[in-house]
Amino acid sequence: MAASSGSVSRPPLSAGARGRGRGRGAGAAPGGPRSGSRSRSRSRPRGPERPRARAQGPDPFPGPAPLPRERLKRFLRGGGEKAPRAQAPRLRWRLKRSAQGEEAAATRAARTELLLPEEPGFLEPDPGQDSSTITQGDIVEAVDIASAAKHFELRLEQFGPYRLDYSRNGRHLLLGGRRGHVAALDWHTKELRCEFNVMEPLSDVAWLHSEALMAVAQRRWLHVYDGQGLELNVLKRFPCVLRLQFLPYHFLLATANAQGFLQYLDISVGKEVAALSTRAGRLAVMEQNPTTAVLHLGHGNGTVSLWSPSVPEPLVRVLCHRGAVRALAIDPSGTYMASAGLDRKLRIFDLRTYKVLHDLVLPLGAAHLDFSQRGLLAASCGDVVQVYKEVVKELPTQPYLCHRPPRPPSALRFCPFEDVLGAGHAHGFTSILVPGAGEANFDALENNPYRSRRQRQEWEVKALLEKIPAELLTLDPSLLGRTDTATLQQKREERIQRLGFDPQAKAKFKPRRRVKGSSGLHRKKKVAHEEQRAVIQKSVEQREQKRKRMEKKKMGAPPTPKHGALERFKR
Amino acid sequence: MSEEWLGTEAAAGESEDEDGNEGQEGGERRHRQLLEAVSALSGRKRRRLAERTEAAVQVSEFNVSTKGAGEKLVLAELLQPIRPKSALSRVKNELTRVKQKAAVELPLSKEEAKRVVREAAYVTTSKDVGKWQQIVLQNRRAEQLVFPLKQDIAAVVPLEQAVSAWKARTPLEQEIFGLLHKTKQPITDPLLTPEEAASLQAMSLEEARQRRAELQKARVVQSYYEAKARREKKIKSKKYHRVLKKSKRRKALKEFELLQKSDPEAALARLEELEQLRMQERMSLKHQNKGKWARSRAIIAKYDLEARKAMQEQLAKNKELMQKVRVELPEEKPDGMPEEDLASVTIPTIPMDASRANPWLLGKPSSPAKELEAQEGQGDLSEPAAVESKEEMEEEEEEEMSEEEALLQDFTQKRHMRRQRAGSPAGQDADVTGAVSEPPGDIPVPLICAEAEVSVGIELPTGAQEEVLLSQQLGRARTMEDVEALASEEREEPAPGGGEMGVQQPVVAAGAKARARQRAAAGAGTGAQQPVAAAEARERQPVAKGETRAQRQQEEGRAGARPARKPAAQKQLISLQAVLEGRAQEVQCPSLPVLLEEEEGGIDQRGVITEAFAGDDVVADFRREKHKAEQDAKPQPVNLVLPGWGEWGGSGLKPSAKKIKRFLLKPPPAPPRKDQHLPHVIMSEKRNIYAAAHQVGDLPFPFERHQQFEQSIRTPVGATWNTQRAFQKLTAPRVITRSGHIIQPISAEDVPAAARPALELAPELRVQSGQRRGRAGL
Repeated sequence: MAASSGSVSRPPLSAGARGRGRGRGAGAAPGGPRSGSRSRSRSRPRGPERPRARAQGPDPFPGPAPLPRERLKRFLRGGGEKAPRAQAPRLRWRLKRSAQGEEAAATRAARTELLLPEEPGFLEPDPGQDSSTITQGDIVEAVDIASAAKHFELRLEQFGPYRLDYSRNGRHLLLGGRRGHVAALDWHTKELRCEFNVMEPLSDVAWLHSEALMAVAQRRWLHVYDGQGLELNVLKRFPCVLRLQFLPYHFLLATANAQGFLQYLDISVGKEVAALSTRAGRLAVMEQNPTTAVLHLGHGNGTVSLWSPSVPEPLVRVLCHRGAVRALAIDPSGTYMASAGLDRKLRIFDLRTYKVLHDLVLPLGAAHLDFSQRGLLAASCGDVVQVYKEVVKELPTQPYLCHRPPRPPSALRFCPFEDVLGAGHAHGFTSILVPGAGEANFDALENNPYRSRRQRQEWEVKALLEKIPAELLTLDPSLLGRTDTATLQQKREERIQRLGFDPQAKAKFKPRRRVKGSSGLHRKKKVAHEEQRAVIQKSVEQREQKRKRMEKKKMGAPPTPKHGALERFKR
Repeated sequence: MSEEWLGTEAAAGESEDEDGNEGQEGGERRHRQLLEAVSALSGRKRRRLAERTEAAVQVSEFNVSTKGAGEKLVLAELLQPIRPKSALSRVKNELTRVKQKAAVELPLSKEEAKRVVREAAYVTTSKDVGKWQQIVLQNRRAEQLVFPLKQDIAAVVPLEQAVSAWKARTPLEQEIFGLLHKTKQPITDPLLTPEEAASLQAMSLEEARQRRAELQKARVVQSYYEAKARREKKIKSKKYHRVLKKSKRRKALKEFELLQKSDPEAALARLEELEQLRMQERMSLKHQNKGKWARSRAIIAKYDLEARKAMQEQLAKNKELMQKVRVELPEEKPDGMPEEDLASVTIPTIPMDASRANPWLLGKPSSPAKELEAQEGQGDLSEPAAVESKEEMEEEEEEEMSEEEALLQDFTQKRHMRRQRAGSPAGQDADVTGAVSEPPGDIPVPLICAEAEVSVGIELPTGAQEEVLLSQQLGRARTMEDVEALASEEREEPAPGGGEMGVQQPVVAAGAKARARQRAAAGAGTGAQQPVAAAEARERQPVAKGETRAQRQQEEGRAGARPARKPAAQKQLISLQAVLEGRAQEVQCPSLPVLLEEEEGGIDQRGVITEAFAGDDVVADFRREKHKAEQDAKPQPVNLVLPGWGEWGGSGLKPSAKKIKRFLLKPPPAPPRKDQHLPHVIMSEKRNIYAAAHQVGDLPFPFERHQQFEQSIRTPVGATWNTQRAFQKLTAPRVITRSGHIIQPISAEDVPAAARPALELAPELRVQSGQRRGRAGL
């Protein structure tokens, strides 16, 4: 947000309220952080301000304001192969019209960008100052009260290192202590929604599609609780779960367990969609690609494997580290992956080419990684949390921000639509201010942090209607937009494989019974007393064997049978 | 007939009268004679009733009389029977008549007749229906159609018209209206002035059509003419052209003569034009045997008579064109002098002032031979390069005059460079430059070589040579490959002279360097290639050490020969080790972590330990895995070998190689793997059959290529992905019907005027069309 508008006060729950703390308070503290804005200019190039008197004349800038092509390009769904020119005039006409429609829609979308209220910015240090030396205290001093309130610490020393999860709109926080403590809170107002102890160790917690449902991976099984902490389900088909990931558009809850199984639960119908055996041992590292919803698993042998529920083998395996993979993070565009291994390295991969972009050695290596919505990368090295800026563009030489929570972090998550990084640790939870981390503007129809209950219900219905089937979860999300060029034969085989039988197969030819009179009155021919016979046969065999054994004992070594070449002529 | 009838009656009456009244006989006769006389007056030949007036030998019962006894004989009648009259004459006549008559054709068979009728009907109907073509097309292409097509648009009556009762009352108003009326200005805003209205009505539809037709005709005629001209232009016959030219010339002469008589001033102007032409010819080198064609002729001329002739013709033409138009004053020569050529036309009456004003027009023509000589002399000198260099030198000299002395050195250098560049492509020009810049007797050696010899020497390391090449041939060797190729060429030259080993080593190094540079440039965008390239360099070094000299030479030779095709093969050389190692950067962090506590807690101790020790030999493991994946993905051969068929079988006996070769079916090789160039990646080649079930399998109808279809479904139309307005636009229905309205079949009235030119309009419709407005949505 621009520094000049820093003193404007807004109602606490207005759409603009979230933008606070985005590098605010220029000059409030000398030597303190200075806010910078990377404002995109959105105003129409109208020239100098015209006086009121001239307004009656003809408009000197007639027509709609010009729209730069770059801005339009972001909304165009280009890509793919370029279509060759159509031969038939009718088709040519049709394609032209569809292209025009596409362009018009993109133009409209680009023009509505004008309505976005917030502008993002980063912390900009004074010349000669290092932004990583700016402490949370400095930032808190500089920013307004509402933003300062977002930096807080929860001291929960009893129940061990905490895992955490933010709801998709960034409003609710779910904390799960290893020793069974689960707490859900609206962290803006610090209002505790529910708090309970599951009375057994837990390994991970996750919100489901809304703040009304949460999943807790406990020592034995996976449990689902509602917003009040009421246990709804115990999923005994999901044992020893270590990590949880919720795929919001597919309504799938992905679980990785200690036996190396990756399971998908469709929470809208309560059905297990797929259970994949990864054959890679304990799965303690799992992340999802926010764009494609492909799951990335980190393994002990330094590889990262990519999974989708419809393919029983890893889509891709990438050898990332010499040691085990400790942490993974995928950036919101789904193009870059950061991985940290036991070899103390942090590597940035381009997921389009699977090549390493940057290679960074961190002190002690990173145990946890997370990408923010605007591409900041948080890494916990030992007991220090480091945040890096623009990792994918250039090799960072030093972090953007550093913070040392009271204990080494056991989980790191950026809060969506907020400039906040949450870190769970052995002594509770710390909320760290990271200016420029969250997306400044939200889509109220998609993720509205300020939605009412009715709005949430409506959103829920719409989201369920737009649920993507699990089969469509593929490495390349544009697959559905392409025609399938496989041959007919191949398609038929695939269909048989999918269905488990051949729908076009003809029944085997059965000759008609021709004998007169036997059709209706034909009696089944069966062996009489089958069971009894079997028993008898068995006993007879046993007796026979026994007899042979006795004979052997008596006879000693059996005489060698004569098998000469001329034996067969003998008579 | 009736007359005859009357005659007979009369005759009957006479006979009765004879019987009855003898006394009146004389009177009766007279009366009869009178009647005869009267009837004779009419001139008509009447068949008189046969009346027996005399006794005859033969009495016919058919009232045959000896009529004609008193008439004269005609000679022709007597002669007629003499001519032999064929009995077949009648038949002959008949025959001729029959012959004259054309044979009546057989009537068409029923089917054929029907077909003809059908065809005719088709033509007329298709013509009739074809009028709608345009409209149908338009409706098909329309984004939205609103039915019924004909909608009553409520016309908004302007307020001024509606309130017509209003009148100007105050004096000011009256004055204003008076003014307006006087200038015939529209009183109310939207109305037109009478002139405008008139202009709008000026051209009726008929007129416009006529106009259009005229224009069309004119255009057609023009196109015909153009086509004709083009055709004539293409005629290759020399004779034709000669004749044409001659006729043209003659025509021109004639015209000129006429012009001379009618308008001497215009003739003079024409003459001046000619003079202009001559000047142009003198300035140009068009007919001086300097063109490409002329030079080629000059080469052949020695052996070919025709070529020689052509050259001479050219020169003659030049001469002719350059000949000065001789103007003779009327005092000196009277008219009547025979005109030989267009060039030497004399003008009888030239106004004196005009001739005085232009002194060039007076006097005798300068001798063309002299001029030609001069021209030829110049031509000898003027080889184009020389001329150019001369001009350049002149220019530069001028510049030098104006510029300072310090620049002089610079200029000479530049000129030198330019001359070099000009000299390099052909040895011919090098001679010229040599003649200009250097003392005569120079050997025509390309200057580059000379310079290279001077500055570099033979035993120069090739790396340096390469640099020289780079600096000198920047224009030609653009890419590193070219430079390498050049270097290899260069290497071959000094090889026999100098020590092979010593020379080649650095070349290879340079080549490798160049390649490395190239790769670095390619990967500059991502930066991902850097470690790879470095690794490769590292790898190559030990390899080079281990290899024998001969091997190395071979390899290098290959590398030098086709460096551009290498990268694919080189990619294989990227090792997994290199990928994993890479250069990592250390981070400078102000607050270093001090302690590493057990982050995971003590619960999964065992898991942590196994994780920590799992990656002892991850690289080898991964390589093995990848190899296995590759092998699995390969299509397996089908073994149809039956042991024992056609040969002995049993334990210890193998089917023969021939048999195996015949019955082991090898499938076609699989397409290249997606990860073939990525040693650290294993990509599954398996098709996702569950996702494929949702894909579109066949190309839908109007699309010709799958890309077209993909392009058309690329944009989502839902409200979730579009703005509200865009969503409405994208999902607007193609047809809108209004409830309670009857949709009539389309008629000429329904078609908006804009779409109608093709449609023939009924006269009463034409009037309406002017008033109707175009409809929205069409």
